Amino acid sequence: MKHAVDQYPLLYQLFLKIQQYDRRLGHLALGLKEFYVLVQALDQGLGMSDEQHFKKLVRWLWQKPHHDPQVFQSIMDSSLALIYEKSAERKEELEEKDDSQIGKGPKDTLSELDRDKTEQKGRTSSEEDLTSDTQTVPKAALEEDSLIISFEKASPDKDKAALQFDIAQLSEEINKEPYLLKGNYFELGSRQLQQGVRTMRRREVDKSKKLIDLEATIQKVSRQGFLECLEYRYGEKWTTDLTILIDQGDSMIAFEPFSEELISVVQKDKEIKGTVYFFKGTPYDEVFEDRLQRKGISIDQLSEAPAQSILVVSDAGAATGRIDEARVEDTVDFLAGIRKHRVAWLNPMPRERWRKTSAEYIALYTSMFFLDQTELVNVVKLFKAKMKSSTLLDKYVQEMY
Amino acid sequence: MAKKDLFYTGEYLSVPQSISRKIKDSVDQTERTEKEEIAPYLPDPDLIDAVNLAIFLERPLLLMGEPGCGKTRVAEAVAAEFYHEQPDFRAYLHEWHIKSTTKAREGIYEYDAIRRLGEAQVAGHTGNTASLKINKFIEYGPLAKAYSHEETDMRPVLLIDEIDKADLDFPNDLLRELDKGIFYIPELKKTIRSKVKPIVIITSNQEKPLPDAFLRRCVYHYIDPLSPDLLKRILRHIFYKKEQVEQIDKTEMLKNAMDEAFLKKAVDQFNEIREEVKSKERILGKNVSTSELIDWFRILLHYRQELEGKQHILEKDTKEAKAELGESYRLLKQIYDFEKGLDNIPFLQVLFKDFKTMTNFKK
Repeated sequence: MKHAVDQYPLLYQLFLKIQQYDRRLGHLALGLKEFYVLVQALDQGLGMSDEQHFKKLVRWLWQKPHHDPQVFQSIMDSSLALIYEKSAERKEELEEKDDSQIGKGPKDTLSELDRDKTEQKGRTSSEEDLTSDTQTVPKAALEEDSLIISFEKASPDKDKAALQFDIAQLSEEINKEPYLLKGNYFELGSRQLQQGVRTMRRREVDKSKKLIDLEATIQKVSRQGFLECLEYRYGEKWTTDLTILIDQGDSMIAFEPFSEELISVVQKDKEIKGTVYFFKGTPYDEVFEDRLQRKGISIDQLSEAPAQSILVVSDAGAATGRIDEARVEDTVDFLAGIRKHRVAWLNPMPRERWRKTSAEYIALYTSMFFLDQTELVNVVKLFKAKMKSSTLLDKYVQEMY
Repeated sequence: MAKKDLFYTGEYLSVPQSISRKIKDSVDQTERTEKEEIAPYLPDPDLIDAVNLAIFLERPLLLMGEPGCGKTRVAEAVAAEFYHEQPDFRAYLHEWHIKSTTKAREGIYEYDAIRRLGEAQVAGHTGNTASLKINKFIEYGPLAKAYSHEETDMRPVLLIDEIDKADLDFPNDLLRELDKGIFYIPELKKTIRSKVKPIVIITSNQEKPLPDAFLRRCVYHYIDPLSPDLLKRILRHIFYKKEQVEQIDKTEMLKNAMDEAFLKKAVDQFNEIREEVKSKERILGKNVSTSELIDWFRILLHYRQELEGKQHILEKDTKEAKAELGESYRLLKQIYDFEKGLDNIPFLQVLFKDFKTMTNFKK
């Protein structure tokens, strides 16, 4: 089973890459347990007949529905290609140093893998155990948490250790990517957004469903002393009445990929029934259904709509670095108009940038949060707890109306 | 490859099978054995490997793929192959069909408190409290049944069908049960610990994304659209008898060349439709899949048999042929034109199942 030991660096490379891919998508990354499952499968000879089988095995165990199959495939291909290359370079170096040692030493990571695979075909694992002179990973090592340590422990041959790749260096090379402004560079990935928005849902009475009310039935029986008839209650359903107002002013251009992610989460997910409106800088009389501002609804219509959760995504003037009194006044007016709804403000600018800008003042009249995971939790809490509007806003309303 | 000698080959159900199963009479509760006809199921080699990997690793197999690609039938095919020699193969197959209202606890047990309340009232008059034992009112669900098997060398098959229909939290509610096989029933103050890990097959239509923690525990396989060769093989095995199929140099064909040509024509046409729908996915929506092909071929075959000996009538003048064939003229003409290679796809409604898609496709 010598070949399996040699394969661990390759597997680990792939594993790291797929972990990164998961994180980039905002998903929970693969865990070490998943790595061990693959090692376990390889130990039994699964996926070893040829490269295609090996790739299939990796896909079955590490690919998940949220992965793009083509991206996943290219991660596998690029990792394999790079390691083939590195492996060949290293082999050449070692051959120059000492030809005889290489002859006696263990096989290079992948250069001899294909040959191994052919030999492996048709051989049972028990046969391998008898013929192999080194044990891959002891069963106990499979239980350990630190996988990398167990690799090292499992490679008794010093020459083999020399053939191990510099994983850090390799990862660095793999990760060299050109810069692109993408939604997933923000503190909140699409997955976190999706989960955050979904948790904004709340239970509501569903009059189309009638269920037996067990507690009421039992209470009635104990009161009357006999079971006369069943008591019923209405069922419940989850609802997410969410309206998102997106600022598409000039200062928000940098955050457009984020707002696009948010729109796609709200509009594509069948579980969320959300509406998106756009405005520029401050919503005056109306907000618009599309970015081109072709069709709009008035703020009055919005304020008269049934009570719902409204999420405003805007820098509230923080990017300009100054206080714009008219902007603050207009915004507070707008907030007063929609005060019957639960309103939260998501500001993509860091909190320290709010200071001495319009945002600092607007934040006094509404619940403003920075765009990250921790603060999104607070938005959810606010929407679910039906929190009251700020006292300053109440005071303002009393004075004005 | 698989532990305990369980290795799925996909061969057993490659032909129709008649397998024993036990049926319980709902009135007098007596059991009788009868034969159940099971239609062939031909998985592609990748699916076979994925099933064996899940069996070997004792991890749930999560299957996704277009609706109608045969996800749900995998569990039955696996159970039939492993347990067809048992007096009741369905005793080793536990199916849990998920609905939007399904709760994780229903997979374990349901307690009928109302019935017990009713019986308690009767017992109050008769004094017979023996009938009130709580076990009588507990109905085990498919999950608990699958995990309660005693024979450690015979792993039952548990199907959790369309898991994505349930609430978002549903898959996470199953994690402990699927991992450890331990269930607690508070009404009985009893903990069930499984002696055997079932082969768990989960299907999803990707209506909702599944939680990461759940996905991590699964072997995931996407059933790709089947190759034309496998589609032809499936049709041969479903619609023709074993004696009608022959093997020439590893190639399977129908002995009757005309039948083989007809079958090939149908599959080619089906693949053309698939390609076209794929290119117009936004307008047309869901693509046609294996189950639609099977339905479509069934109807094609039916009218082809009806057409037998009547071709000469259709070669006549339309008016004359109509008068002679009456109502069936239109249907037979479709098959006749199809076989002749004229630009005509008969019974599109069977493939598309809704008028709007069909009309858009024709456009």
